[in-house]
Amino acid sequence: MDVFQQLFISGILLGGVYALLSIGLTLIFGVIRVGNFAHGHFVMLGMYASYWLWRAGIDPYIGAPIVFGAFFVIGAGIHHKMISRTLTMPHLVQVFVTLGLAIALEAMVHLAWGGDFRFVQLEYTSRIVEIGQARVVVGSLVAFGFALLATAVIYAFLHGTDVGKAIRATAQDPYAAQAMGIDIGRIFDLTFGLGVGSAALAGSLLVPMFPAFPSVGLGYSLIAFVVVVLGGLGSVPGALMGGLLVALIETFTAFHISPSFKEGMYFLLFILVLVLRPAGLFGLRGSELVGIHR
Amino acid sequence: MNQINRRSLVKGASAAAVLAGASVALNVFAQGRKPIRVGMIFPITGPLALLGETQMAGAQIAIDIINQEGGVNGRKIEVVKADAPNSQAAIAEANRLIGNENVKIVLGTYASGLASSIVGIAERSNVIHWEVGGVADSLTQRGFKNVFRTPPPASLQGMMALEFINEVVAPKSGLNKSTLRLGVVHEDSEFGSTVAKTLAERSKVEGIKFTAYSYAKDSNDLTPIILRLRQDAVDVIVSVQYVNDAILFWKQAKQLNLALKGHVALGAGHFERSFIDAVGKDANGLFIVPPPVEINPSGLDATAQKDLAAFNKAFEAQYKKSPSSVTMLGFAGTMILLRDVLPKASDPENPDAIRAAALAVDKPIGSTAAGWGVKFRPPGENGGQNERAFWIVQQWQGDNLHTVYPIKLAVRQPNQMPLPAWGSRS
Repeated sequence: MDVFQQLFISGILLGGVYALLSIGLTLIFGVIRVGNFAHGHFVMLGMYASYWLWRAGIDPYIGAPIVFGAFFVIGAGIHHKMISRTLTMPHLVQVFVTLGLAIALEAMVHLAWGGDFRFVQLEYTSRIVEIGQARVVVGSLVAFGFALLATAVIYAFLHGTDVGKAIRATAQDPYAAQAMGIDIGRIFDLTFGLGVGSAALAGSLLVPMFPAFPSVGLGYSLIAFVVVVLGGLGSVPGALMGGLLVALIETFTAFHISPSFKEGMYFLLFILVLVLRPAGLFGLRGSELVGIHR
Repeated sequence: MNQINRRSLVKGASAAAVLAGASVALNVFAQGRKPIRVGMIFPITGPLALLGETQMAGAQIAIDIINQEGGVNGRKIEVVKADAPNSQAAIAEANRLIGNENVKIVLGTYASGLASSIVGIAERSNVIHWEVGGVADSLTQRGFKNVFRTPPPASLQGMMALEFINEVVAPKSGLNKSTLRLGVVHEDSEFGSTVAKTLAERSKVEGIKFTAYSYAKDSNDLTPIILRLRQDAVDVIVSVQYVNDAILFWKQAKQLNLALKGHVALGAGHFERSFIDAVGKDANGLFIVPPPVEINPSGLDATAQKDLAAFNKAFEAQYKKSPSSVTMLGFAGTMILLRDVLPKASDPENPDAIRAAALAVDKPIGSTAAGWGVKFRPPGENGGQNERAFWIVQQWQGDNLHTVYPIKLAVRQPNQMPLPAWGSRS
């Protein structure tokens, strides 16, 4: 087995996972300018939702659209009832609201279903496939495929539909968008719903490979934040490239330097990007400065 | 003045004396029935919750058994619970238990990281810290006189693993000390790092080739580590992992077809049913070095046999499954406090008296439900460590764990050495 090939392919597939985790967050962060600290927790909820659907006899990949739909509605509702009230308040309030939401969600899940690890055992996702001289697990190929598909679909939605254009307009300049007659309250609800739905969808695609447990959310949030900043706020292709970049750095650093330093290396890159190009690799220059102040 | 004559004075005085005597007696009686309050601190939420909860369950069963017998010298144990999902919470809760709740014994904590955040608080406040689960050596190396640890230290676990590899696994796989290549994979917290350090030192002394890799326990991909292990051509791996990463490592090792002659696991990740439920038959053949559990009762004395039976019965009745070694640590450690220490203390709520009683205990191997003896080291080097505690070796055979070493406590022979290929293990 060729080490470079294995590392590269494992890195790319892990990048797909990271991209999936981040697509939802880049939308929320980029459009509404809210740092959703509960992001990873919605991934966790998506994992649990898929797990329970699987227990009821529905394959996670078939149940994924159901999970997306359900959490789209939940996300829009959360924004409408909770987050929208904080948009005129200082950033710290928004941070604490999403943080509080994260803590509450974790505690509720722990209370309802305990701390046990929940595994979805699918026979076909653990099958091993050879790509060149590398061996990969079917589950990670599927997750990668979905990451590409999700990126393409959301990109097409944002650029090809009127609603999508309205979202992009709101991201660029909410005042001008309002002046053009766009109902930005509704756009924000929609975007938050899209973001939360995507997070839950990522959970559905991860649960055949990784276990669901109440505190799995924080780690995912952390990765998503790094990827989103690297890729550029609001840029969905940026989330994909950012995910791939973080995963490849992690994988190659772990092998060639040391496994204990793998996270440290991509955080180093993170700091570099923040210093040299804070808008992110694919973000519009200056976009990081635009905030919503009403 | 005339009304107070001698008779009424005597009557009054004797009535007062009787009342005084009665109230003193009542007070002593009431004191004698007052419960002994013990603080109990474990991670019951957060990432360590799965194992923290089960260890606390073991501790609680010990308390329930003693309370059913009437308590310690007639006084029941009253538990004041605290949840410590992480170190910051542990510190806050320890301060609450000691400062607000006024307990004189803090029992816990399952995880060495949590314990090391709070032993200093107990020491400063002159409260006893009774550690039943955290095994990092450093806990008894800070020169504290109030810290007692019932289970064996982590360094001995690594030693037991190495002893077992040298005596059993290597010879059966056609290897000896000069040909054996040992690889250590561990998560990077205090527990994992302590074990790795001990193994590195020991391997150097014995002339065994050795490499070690560490990683953050919530890693999503361990492929690079497995590729490094393959590059180093390791024969036997010793791993120190929690549940999530243990499963990820094993699955990815299978994916990459890592060929191993043996695998000895030291972290709690491989001890639980969750591990074999997730990885299936490929878990068989794997050795683990847990604290004692499922040992041969013929190696125990009468009281220990009775306690062991009562523990198994109570746990199975409540949780519908067998207790794990993590649970046993909670039970065994608490039982030592309640059977061997507190009854002998002149005042079970006076830390100095408790300490004196603990240091006076001298019981041989086989006298506790875990198979351990009890003798705490005096203040000084490793003060507070139970010298007569040890680890055992079990093996996954036929989808279940069975004790295979030390021979006196074994219930089965070790098999599958060298380890068969992936897919052909049982």
